[in-house]
Amino acid sequence: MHRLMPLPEGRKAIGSRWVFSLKTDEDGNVIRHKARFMAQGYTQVEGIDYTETFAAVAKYDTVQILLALAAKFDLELDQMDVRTAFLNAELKEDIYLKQPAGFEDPEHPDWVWKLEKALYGLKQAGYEWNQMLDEYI
Amino acid sequence: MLAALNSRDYLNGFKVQLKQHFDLTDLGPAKHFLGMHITHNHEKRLLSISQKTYLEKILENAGMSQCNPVGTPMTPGVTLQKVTRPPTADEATAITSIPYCRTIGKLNYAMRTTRPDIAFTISCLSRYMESPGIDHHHQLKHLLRYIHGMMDLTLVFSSMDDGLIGYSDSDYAADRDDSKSTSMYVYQLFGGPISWKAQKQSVVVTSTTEAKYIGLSSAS
Repeated sequence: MHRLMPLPEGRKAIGSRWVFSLKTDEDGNVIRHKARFMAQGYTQVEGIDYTETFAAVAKYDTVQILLALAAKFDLELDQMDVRTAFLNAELKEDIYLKQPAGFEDPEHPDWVWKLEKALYGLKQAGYEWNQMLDEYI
Repeated sequence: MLAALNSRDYLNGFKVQLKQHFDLTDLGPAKHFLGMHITHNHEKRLLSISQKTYLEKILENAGMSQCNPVGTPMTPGVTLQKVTRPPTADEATAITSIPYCRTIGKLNYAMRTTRPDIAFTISCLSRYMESPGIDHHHQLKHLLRYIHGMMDLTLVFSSMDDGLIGYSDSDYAADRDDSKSTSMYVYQLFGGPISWKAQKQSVVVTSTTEAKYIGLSSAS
């Protein structure tokens, strides 16, 4: 989710790379080869490219209490996963990404991508995703 | 993401709503979560969590899959202290045969999620990560043998049990190097532990009362 445009003056575009990993099941067998497109968030500047980065994480004790409650009151306990969670989150800041190698626009090779949604690796990705989920629930 | 509701219909309704907003994969009844294996027996109204696969992998990586089991996490009566002399060549080989820090790090995660029984041992052993000696190596092996013997232990929550119970205790100046005490606590909810810790205190105390008081304070 991005728009191709020239880089505004005074801004720097951040780089990106591919990360490949193997997904294994509980017994360690490879079940999927994964490729993830990551922003190189370490080049982001605080106050310009991001402001808030705090993302709430479940405390382990909380999980344990939920399990105890499920046992006590005989609740139905289900598990779910949001596919590519961070890619759902909208960005508050304007983030410009260098065009990734192999995907350059032939007419405007020096333009950049202005991101409309978060990307893995961005400093604020976790925060924005948490805000979005929190708002909805 | 975990969700618990008191009726199957409500839960399905909740998932339908979430699906309208997000690209959701429904994994059905929770089975594996954060490395834990969850078993929910609705007839007996029991819920248990275990980590057998994870523990087996730790033993395998340490080359201890075939070891003889023991019934205690530490050798009774042994108190550890910092290394006082350099290890002999034989001892040095023995010490490096199991990666001390890495193995304790892995066991620490297991302790945190499903094994309160090894919390105290982990607390003791992790004090010597910087330079483990032959005694520490022997205790780590002892712990791994205990894990091997107690692999099938699970945390069980039951609808028969009521309420919240908290326990707290501490030893008195048991650390040989700095004379500090170790506090321990565990909270149980509906028969199963939900929160536990064993940690060396940060100050030196002058009585068992003081040690236990600090322990109670950190438990609260």
